[in-house]
Amino acid sequence: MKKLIQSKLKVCSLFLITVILISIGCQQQTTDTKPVSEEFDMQEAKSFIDSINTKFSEQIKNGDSMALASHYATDAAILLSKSEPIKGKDILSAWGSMIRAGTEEITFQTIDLIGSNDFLIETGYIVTKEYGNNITKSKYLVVWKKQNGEWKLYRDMIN
Amino acid sequence: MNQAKKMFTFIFLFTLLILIISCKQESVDSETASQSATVEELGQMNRDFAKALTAKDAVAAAILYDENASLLPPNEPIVTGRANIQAYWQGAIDAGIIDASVKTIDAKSNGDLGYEIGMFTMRFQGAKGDTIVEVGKYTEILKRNSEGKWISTYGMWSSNEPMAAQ
Repeated sequence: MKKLIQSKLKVCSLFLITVILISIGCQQQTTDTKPVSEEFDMQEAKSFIDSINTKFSEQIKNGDSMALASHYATDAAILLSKSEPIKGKDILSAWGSMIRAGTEEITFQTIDLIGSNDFLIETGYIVTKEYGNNITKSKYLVVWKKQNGEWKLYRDMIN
Repeated sequence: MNQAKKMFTFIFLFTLLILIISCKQESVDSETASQSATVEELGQMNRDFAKALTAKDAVAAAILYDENASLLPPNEPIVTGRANIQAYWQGAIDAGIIDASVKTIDAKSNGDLGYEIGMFTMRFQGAKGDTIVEVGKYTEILKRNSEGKWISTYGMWSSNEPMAAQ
């Protein structure tokens, strides 16, 4: 009788050990297949994007096209209506032209911000005020990407 | 006694089998979710969209969008919701679309979120029987739905230049 109980206990232990080993192995396998990536903090990303949008507004007021162009990735493009994509050094010229054409003030209103560490998508409204109080409200869709650890505008579409 | 042993062996093997299958499934699901989509896969939505417009089929165009997707058309307010998007593209079809084509410039994804940037060409029938050609660029924000298909959540585009008649 004692032998029988001992044998049953052995079988039960074997069973439990096997189940535990498989579970651990399974857990490990799932962890291994997950991509290795930095932890992403959307709130932090949002604060950064908001700060860049505030800087844009300030730099327009100051007429600082160099500072405005510095927010773009090296391979960025501005996609405006009735215009070919504006790339490279032409981004600086485009902001210079906007300032010379009389743009006094720009404000941004983010509607949505989604994404991860790889890229962010921002949609919103841009309100432009020119000399003589001519106010234009447009829509924008921006793809942000990280370059040298900092979020930069990669595709800036406005219409 | 023998029957109890058999029953125990059966439960043991059955539990093992279930564990192994669920483990395998979890691993496959995790791999699928973490895989980046190819440029080809991310460009499919707009290739299907161009086909739908060429076929003058606004319903086929609308199902390529998420139920709560938004269009950001040039010089017009934002259009939100699949039904409104269908009506918008029906309007474009009624305006005399002849055909549409697209070319992907860049596309990327992370998890179930992606984007595609491209160029489009649309040809319209002009009022005087002429053909109006519109060439432009677009940004499409995509999400992978429960069936694994990439559908649009935001679509924005604009012409490169004023429309030219052929």
